[in-house]
Amino acid sequence: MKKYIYLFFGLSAILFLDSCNESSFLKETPEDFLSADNAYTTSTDFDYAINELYYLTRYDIFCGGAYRSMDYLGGTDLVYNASSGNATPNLVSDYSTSGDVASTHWNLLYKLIGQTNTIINRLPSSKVSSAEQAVYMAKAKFFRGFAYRTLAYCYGGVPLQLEEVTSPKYNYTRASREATILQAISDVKDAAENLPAITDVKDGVISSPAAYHLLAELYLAAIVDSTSAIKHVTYADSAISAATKVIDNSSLSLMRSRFGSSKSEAGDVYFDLFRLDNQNRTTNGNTEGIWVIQIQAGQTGGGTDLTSLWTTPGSYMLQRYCAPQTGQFKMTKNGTTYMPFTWPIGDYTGGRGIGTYVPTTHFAYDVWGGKNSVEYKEDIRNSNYNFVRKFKFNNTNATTLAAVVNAFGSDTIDIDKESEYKADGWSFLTGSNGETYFPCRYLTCYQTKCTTLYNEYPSAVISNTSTYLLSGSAGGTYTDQYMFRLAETYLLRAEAYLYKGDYTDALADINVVRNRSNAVPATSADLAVRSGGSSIEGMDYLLDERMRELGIEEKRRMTLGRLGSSIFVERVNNYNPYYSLNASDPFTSKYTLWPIPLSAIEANTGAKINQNPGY
Amino acid sequence: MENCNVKNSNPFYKMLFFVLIFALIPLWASAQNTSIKGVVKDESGQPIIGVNVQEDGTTNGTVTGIDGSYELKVPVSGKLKVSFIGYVTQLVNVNGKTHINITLKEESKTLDEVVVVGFGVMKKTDLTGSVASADLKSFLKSPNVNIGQSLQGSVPGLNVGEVTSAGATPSITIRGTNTISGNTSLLVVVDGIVTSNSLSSLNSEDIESIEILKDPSSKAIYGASAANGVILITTKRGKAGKARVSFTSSYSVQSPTHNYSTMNRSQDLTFMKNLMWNKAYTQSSGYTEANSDFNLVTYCPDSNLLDAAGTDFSSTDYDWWKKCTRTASIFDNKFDISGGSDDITYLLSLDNVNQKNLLVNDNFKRNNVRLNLDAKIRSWWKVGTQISGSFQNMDGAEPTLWTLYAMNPMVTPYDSDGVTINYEPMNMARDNPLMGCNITDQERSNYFVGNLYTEILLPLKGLSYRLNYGNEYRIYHHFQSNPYGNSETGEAYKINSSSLDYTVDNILTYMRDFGKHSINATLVYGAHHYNYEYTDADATEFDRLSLGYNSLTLGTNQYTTSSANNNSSIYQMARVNYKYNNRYLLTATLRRDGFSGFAKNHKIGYFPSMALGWIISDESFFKVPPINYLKLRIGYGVNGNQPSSYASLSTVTTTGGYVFGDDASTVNRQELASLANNDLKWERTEGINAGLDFHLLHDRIQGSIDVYQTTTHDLLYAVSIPIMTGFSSIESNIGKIRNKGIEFTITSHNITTKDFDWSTTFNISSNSNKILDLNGGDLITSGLFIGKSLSAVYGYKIDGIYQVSDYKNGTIPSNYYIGDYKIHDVNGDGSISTADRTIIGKTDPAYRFSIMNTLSYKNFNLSFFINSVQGGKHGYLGENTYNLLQDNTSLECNHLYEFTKNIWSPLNPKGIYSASTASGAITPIRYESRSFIRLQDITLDYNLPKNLISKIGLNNIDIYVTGKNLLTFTGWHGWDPEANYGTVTPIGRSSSINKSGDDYEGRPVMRSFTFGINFNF
Repeated sequence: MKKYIYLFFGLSAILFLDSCNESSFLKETPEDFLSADNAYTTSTDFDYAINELYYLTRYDIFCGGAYRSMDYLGGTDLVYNASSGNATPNLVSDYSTSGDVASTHWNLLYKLIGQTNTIINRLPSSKVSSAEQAVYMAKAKFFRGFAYRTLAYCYGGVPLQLEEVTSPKYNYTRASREATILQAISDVKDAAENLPAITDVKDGVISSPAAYHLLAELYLAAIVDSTSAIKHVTYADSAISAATKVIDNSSLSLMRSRFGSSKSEAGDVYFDLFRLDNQNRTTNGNTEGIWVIQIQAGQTGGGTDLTSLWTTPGSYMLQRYCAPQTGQFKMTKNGTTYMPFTWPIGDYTGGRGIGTYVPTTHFAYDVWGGKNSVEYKEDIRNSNYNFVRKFKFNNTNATTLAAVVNAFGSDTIDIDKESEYKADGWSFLTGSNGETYFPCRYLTCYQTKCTTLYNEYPSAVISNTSTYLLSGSAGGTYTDQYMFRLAETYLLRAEAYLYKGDYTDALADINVVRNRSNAVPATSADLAVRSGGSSIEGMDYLLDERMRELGIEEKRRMTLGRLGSSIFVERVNNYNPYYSLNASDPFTSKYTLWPIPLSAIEANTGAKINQNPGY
Repeated sequence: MENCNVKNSNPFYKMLFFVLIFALIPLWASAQNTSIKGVVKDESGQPIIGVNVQEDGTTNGTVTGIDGSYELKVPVSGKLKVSFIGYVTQLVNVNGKTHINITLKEESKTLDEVVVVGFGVMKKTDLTGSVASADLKSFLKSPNVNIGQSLQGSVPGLNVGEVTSAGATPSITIRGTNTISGNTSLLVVVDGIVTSNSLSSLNSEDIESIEILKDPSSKAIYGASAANGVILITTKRGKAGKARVSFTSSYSVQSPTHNYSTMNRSQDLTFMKNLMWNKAYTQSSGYTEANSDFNLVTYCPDSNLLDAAGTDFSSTDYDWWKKCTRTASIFDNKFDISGGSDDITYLLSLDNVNQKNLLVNDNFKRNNVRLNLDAKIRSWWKVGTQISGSFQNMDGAEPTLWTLYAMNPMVTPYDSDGVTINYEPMNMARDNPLMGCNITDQERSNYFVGNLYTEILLPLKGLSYRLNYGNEYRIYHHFQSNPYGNSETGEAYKINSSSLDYTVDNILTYMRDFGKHSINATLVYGAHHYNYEYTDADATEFDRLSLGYNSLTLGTNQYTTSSANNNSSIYQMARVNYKYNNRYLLTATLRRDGFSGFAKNHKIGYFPSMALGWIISDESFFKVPPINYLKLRIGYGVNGNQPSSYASLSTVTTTGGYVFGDDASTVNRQELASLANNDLKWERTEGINAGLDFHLLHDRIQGSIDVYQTTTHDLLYAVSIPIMTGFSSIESNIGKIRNKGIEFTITSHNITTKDFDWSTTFNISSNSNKILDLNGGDLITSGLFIGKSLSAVYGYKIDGIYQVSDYKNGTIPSNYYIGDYKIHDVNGDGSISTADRTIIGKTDPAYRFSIMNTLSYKNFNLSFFINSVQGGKHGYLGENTYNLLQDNTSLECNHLYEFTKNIWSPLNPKGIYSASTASGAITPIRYESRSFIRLQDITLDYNLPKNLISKIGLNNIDIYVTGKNLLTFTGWHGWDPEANYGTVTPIGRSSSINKSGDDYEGRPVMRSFTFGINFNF
């Protein structure tokens, strides 16, 4: 009897044993992540949070998956799309309000802004010293300004969010483009004044000159929106003064002689600027890079994926889209067809390119003065090391190679000699729609800055180290990328001088850049030529010079977007015939801005966000 | 059935009950013993041998002899408990008698069936909620490796999907969707313990019963995690008596229900030509006559498809599909031993399954072992255990499916040397699919379950205490070494994860009758804890991969990742079942739940329920002769839905993010990935269910009908917020959904004769849901609309495809081209824009039905089962879309030949898939109805004559053949309509997701033929 009672009370005790600890039992403690409350305290926390900003920036502009990095090149006067088979250009579908172009960049840029706002808001209550706080604040503001700058150039005026959001908000409205740019200026100006000197930062880290470069560009953008002539002058002066801070910086100078990893190979200094490991200051003494986006093949956080082309974020696919797909090229004479190239090979034939983007005639020929000009031959930026037009046959099958060399009478084909070859009885297959001319997809001139050469490729994508045969997942551009380079700062200052009508100083800056490349100095007569659509004298020449100096390195869409729709439309229609092919959907000012993504408009239920005109 | 009068009930019994509860004083009485004699007979007056006659509540007992007689000494005031399998147990008061004859009633299986209801069992007649028992017997012989497959179509209101890969668990939902994005998985309880284990870890032979709690009142005992329905699985126990040994072996051969394969060379060339219709055919003929100037080779997208000279297509005609598929099979052997004495019973089982599915290396091997043991160690004390293990082997990697579909027949997997696998047979950045399977791959899942219970009869009559202590441990590992990985430099990894659950349930039950009053009360206090950890070690770039994943150190680059999570819940539950006069039933429950995954301010939730039942046919006024049983049930309850852990917290993810400098190491980045919501509340589903159970014509026809309506409040949803906040969504409680439906099931014993039996079961169920409220209106971005179904499909209506004639007539709008989908101008403004989106239907079906027929003639049994899901006019839609352009990808990639027959071209104007020169300004998604009727299972078995087999010492030999998925009638194009997303797979890329199913994997469903044999002795 007693035992039953003991048992019962014993069991009752078990029954209620746990109840005392209920709240601790139910407390939720994450095991593999932190939460906002405890992740923004120490300087390590803020270092990590700042690293995120570099990561997101690289993601948006360079590593956003197969096509998204190319959005900043396509639809401009630089290149045209040669790979869509028989399809007509289709911006109406590409730039759909619900499409990936519209939403990918918008989403990434606002994510970047959100992360900067969190840093800015949480710094004051952190354990970081006030001196350090100022630097973190400057870094965060730089990136916030950078994000609003990209948004303003590509989408126009956008909603401004400057505080950390801790609960849902649905009532955004668009600020004007001018207000958006002024916000960016305010952020970047703070950054410029508080960021460290370029000699005091690690490679790839933003510094005061990077902010001044960006600031100069932003002042130029502000001119476009402002209707006040006084402001034009003020902005132009501010741009000049910001650019001068960079140009006069004794730690920065143009590279004028051979340097770095490939200096013993045939080539020139412009070639050296884009070789592996040659972009950073410390590795090979490059003093021209102001802000270098870091790409390290095969390393976590290195911004590449060597195993797949389809990862997002993945490798920067400039090579894939800008270099030719030589393996498809065919040449026929007397009924015999030859395929002289093995593909993909990591030599001057362009690696694992697929020739999606072919340079426009303007970019390939006109800006260099045409095939027969002195300029075309002397400007090192157009040398065969940098802008390849002569392709050496590389078929790894010795018999095939011997046969084609024998028949052709040379081991190299020069696409500029198309008419001579054709007169000699040769015909070519150069594109997937039966094209027979150069440049086209299978054999197009291309800039070697989109590629690495020979053993510069990561070993993981080389299939055969003696033939340089690449593996199927190659196709990325595996070297660091310039975001800002001193040569561009000169061109920005030149642009500001143009707004002031100061052609002497403008020419001086342009010629600093041209002299380095052994180009004939520009003259005021050159500036006076109005070939594009600009009402500013010299702007057409300057935009051509940017094409020569920067080419596919430039995020051309941002430059044209910065300059506004009239220049943008004129240049595309004048220099890029691809977009005039579609008569029912010509390139109009509508396409100078991307649409605001439908998802952003529809989620914003408390207020209306106006769509860009035409969409 | 007792025939009591309501007026005679004593009101004091109620009071007495409470007095007894609190008194804790055992009503022990010692008394004089007396000897009782008697005979036990059945209703026809035949004596029964072997009947247990026991003094109730003690071990004192005997069994009846050959003439049904017994003799036993019991106290004068004692009770006799007379029990025999198949008969209703009787309790007889001795009351000083010395001679008691007893007539045992045969158990009416349908009425006195006991069902598991969670934390206890109930007689089916006493149920007040909607609890369905699955018909396991009928599907035992089907080749269902996963027990979930045996539930497909057999229970009204239970929706079980189709599986397409070896060993997979089908998707299971009950009565529609109660949540938008909350947890939709139902709660599975095995032997009283909530399990996190996969259903694949169960051996179908081990299962005694499966009950499904469908309505809010019966689910309420599982409170916070019950909203999606509860499945209670009970494993078999040993029975006292001679050991029973059973062995079953079956072998199935399987092939896809559709005999599809990818194109061969000549089919591919025709396909390419037709895709280039505007070049290959003359414009003047409307693109129907061949253009003599057209040379397809000019448009060949890839030199790899050409011959050595590069002037014509290669003559290679390689069958990739055949290389990567095989005849599928399942070989299953089950072995069972059970038995025991009065005090100890046992069940031992072993199940060995070896399944080889269609795709090479889609393998599933499983060994399941189980020991169930029950011991009565004292008259008042029982202990027992269920110990089981499931050891699953999924070794071998499959060919990469999406590249397999795409491989052109004019290229081969091998280089010119005939041996090396060509990394990229086509220059299309599509890896050789064989690289997916010619690698070393070990994938194992092991499950260990050890449950213990103890049950004590407490010194208060009718009061007992049970402690359940359940432990589950899962170990998963996936090891792979892949020479083709990381661009052929080699990759190897080891993934290890494990999880551990424990559950403690204290259950106090009080069960007692007081005259016409029956009380069955249950109190539960329990806790559950779940803990998970994961480690992945990965290395790439190997000079030598011969040691594979067991020497990751040899990799040049090494990466590791790890993660962990845990959650806890704690709960109390009280339930009272009260029955008056065996006719009026009441069940009331209250559950209090705490779950760690909830926001700080809302850790605890309360979930009440109340249900009533009335057995109308027992009323004296009820005199409808054909109806021999009629019961009305009505119930109300509230259930919750648990979110995933950490949903309310803001998360900061930290990973390697950037490298500053050329020889620097990686630095970490941290991202504030989500917003916190401290007010995240429990999602609550409340609802009512009304049901009618009926038996007609002396149980010959039995059926029930249930109608229900539930409303879910405080829906959990990651609400889209403008990305301008820095975040795309926040977990919030946003609104209300209503589900309502009707379920009907009927079983008819059409013919019952000595040699021939025919019975039919028909089930039909329908559920519809509607969003009632979303704070702040429609969420277009999320596809949620007030007043519409949760599964509404919002998009463009497609009116076919623009034909050449449309172009001639000038009726194609600008920015659209011949061969594009023709979008319906819904708002009639003359142009196509996003304003033309509309709700075009829903992905939920309108209704489901099934028919099971069982026929037996002497030793033969034949059963066939027809299952159907119907969408009605605009329901059960699935994405079935593709649009091809004349680009290299479309030209070069292979497709299923049957798919290409449906691609539009001027020669195939009725083609359903767009193929155009340029995509239109808007490319809509095409939907199709997935409705189907399927002959799902058919079984014929033969029991060898008993007199024959008893000579060789066996009890039974059963030989059977079954067919599964033999016939399917559907208008759906592509692989099976019911499989998760079964469209054809044009270039093998997975399409966007569909609300009705998982990601589209493009895998076929298998049709199978099984031969099996069962021995037992």
